[in-house]
Amino acid sequence: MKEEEENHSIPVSKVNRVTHFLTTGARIGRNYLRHYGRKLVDPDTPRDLLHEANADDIYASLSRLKGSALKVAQMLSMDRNLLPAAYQRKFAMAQYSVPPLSYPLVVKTFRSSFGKGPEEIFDTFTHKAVNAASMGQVHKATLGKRTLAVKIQYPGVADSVKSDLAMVRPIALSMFHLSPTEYDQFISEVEARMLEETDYQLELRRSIALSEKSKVIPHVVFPKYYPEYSSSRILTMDWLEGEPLGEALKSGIPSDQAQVLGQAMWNFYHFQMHQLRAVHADPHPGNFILMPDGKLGIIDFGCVKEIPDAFYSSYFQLHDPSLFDDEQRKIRVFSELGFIYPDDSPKDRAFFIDLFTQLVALLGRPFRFESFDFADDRYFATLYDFGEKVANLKELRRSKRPRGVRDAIYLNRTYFGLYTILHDLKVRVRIKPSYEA
Amino acid sequence: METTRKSTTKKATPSARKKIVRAYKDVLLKTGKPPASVYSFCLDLGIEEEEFYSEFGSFAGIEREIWKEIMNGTIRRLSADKAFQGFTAREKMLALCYTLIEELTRERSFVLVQLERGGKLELAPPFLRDFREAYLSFTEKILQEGQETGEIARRPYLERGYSRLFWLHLVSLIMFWKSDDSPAFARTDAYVEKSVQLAFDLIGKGIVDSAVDLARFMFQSRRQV
Ligand SMILES: Nc1ncnc2c1ncn2[C@@H]1O[C@H](COP(=O)(O)OP(=O)(O)O)[C@@H](O)[C@H]1O
Ligand SMILES: [Mg+2]
Repeated sequence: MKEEEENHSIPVSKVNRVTHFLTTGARIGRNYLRHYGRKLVDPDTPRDLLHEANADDIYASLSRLKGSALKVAQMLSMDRNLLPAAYQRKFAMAQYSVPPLSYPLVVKTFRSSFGKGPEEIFDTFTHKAVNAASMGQVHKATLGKRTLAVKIQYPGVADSVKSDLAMVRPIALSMFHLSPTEYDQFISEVEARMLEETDYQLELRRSIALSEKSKVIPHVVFPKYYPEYSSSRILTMDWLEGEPLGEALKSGIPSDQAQVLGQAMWNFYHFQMHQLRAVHADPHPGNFILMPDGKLGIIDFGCVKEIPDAFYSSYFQLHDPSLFDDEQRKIRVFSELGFIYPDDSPKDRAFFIDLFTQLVALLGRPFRFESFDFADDRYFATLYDFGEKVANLKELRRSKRPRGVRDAIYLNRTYFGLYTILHDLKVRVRIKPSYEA
Repeated sequence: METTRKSTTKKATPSARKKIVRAYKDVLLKTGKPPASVYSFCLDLGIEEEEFYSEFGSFAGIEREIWKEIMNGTIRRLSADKAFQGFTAREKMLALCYTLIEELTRERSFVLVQLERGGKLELAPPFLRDFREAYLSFTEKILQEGQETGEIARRPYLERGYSRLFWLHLVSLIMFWKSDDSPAFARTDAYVEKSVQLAFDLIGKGIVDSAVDLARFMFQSRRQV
């Protein structure tokens, strides 16, 4: 399909998101018309056919959206398992981006933060951005012997997050078949994380705190951050000289090196989940850098999920293989996590218990072993097939209530990203990381 | 006799002029309108009417002067900036707008009162006469340089209209800034960025990207108010 190929060209021009929402709406409308048209003839046309037809259209249109609307759509479709797995993988990595800032605007941003332009602060400063960032861009600077990465945010982004989200609401409700309460629960979580992402002061504090604590993990490196050259819209850190993981994956990484990277990444996430209870929630190849000495460079603490205590104890029981031996405990955990509700009909209850038992067993499979081979294509095929099956379950679509709680959204996404990268690295990972041994 | 007198007043000028301007702004901002007469204004200020008239012909003259100073202050800052000379025409225009907005922001209360009182900006009300002239002669220079370097396409029939367009752009910018309630006028910065990019795409090459970007932004901004 043409649109699929065009997925790569997302960042070329600033796409008119409004228009895209309209076209998406129109196409979905068209499919509904077709559906009802067919229905007139044959009242038994399954709604699922309609959903299949929509998945293509949704992906085609959404993958061209930008800004926070894209992010929301992307998270929703993952969360709802709405898109076929093949689409989901691509979609999960879609980046949100703004048009480039002109150099005078960069200067203006510096002046309003520090009262000085970048060239008065640094020895050298690139006039053009060297990388795009989701809400701005990255420039390279030098100061003395140090090379720095300076991330600068587009003005008014926090504002536009809010209006983008308001814009996406009506279409998301109909497109993803959500009830307004369910949507609002979802969106309040996403909105909270996205607004945090617009605050570079917060990102600075979290970057320093989390990277400082995670230094104990072998084979990972973090840039040093510079509060004195950072503000709410500017973030300055050491430049990590190396190859972005996305590019390294394309050109191929020798397996022994991949092994070190994959284990380091696994350990890093395990450590954050259990020791720090605050997680770099954006495991995206663009946020990792393969360092010349073979270590894993980690950047971008813009999106961090802090794990509340009560939620922690429920969620991680899912990784405990013995959970399934104790039916009562399982039911309790499932209720705490919003998979089932006390007033579900017996039929629904049985259905969801069975569904989530399968899902948890499948997603948690790596945790049942001493080590797990993420290169295993069969495992991922089963995972995707299951995802596809879930996506088409009418029980889930018709459920009036969310199945799952808001705190899980970003953790699920983090594991999804992590598994995907480990699969791409084709590594076998020791599940119980060595920093605990 | 006449000449010596003039030169002495000239000498005393900076402080007297400044004092008058400051007092006038004060009245305007506190009451929302000009003083009842030059007579009462001078009485309150404790100066002779003669002193007033040796500096300004009327209250309108003071207003024109304040506006002109906003523009001249902007141009002085830009000319003093080393980097500015090395900018492309597009960047110069962007820097001009950003600096001008900063200068306007310093006088925001005054500017808002003036905008309330004085007719349509597009038609360049009298108090904007010198401001407008200074702006247009500066932008004309930028445009000319842009044409010399080839950054701006030569379109003989259209070019004559460019000044008017740039003036209308500035008017739209001031109106945007006037109703902008985002912190630090961040949305005005975004507006400058998008609209100047569009203007330069129009007078250079390729228009679609910036047009679409601006359209979307305006749509959202409208939804917000
Ligand atoms: N310290 C750094 N060293 C090297 N490259 C960097 C550094 N920081 C950012 N980059 C580059 O800039 C891109 C965007 O930066 P990032 O912090 O990930 O922004 P965002 O939060 O918008 O995703 C990264 O994908 C990377 O290519
Ligand atoms: Mg990133």
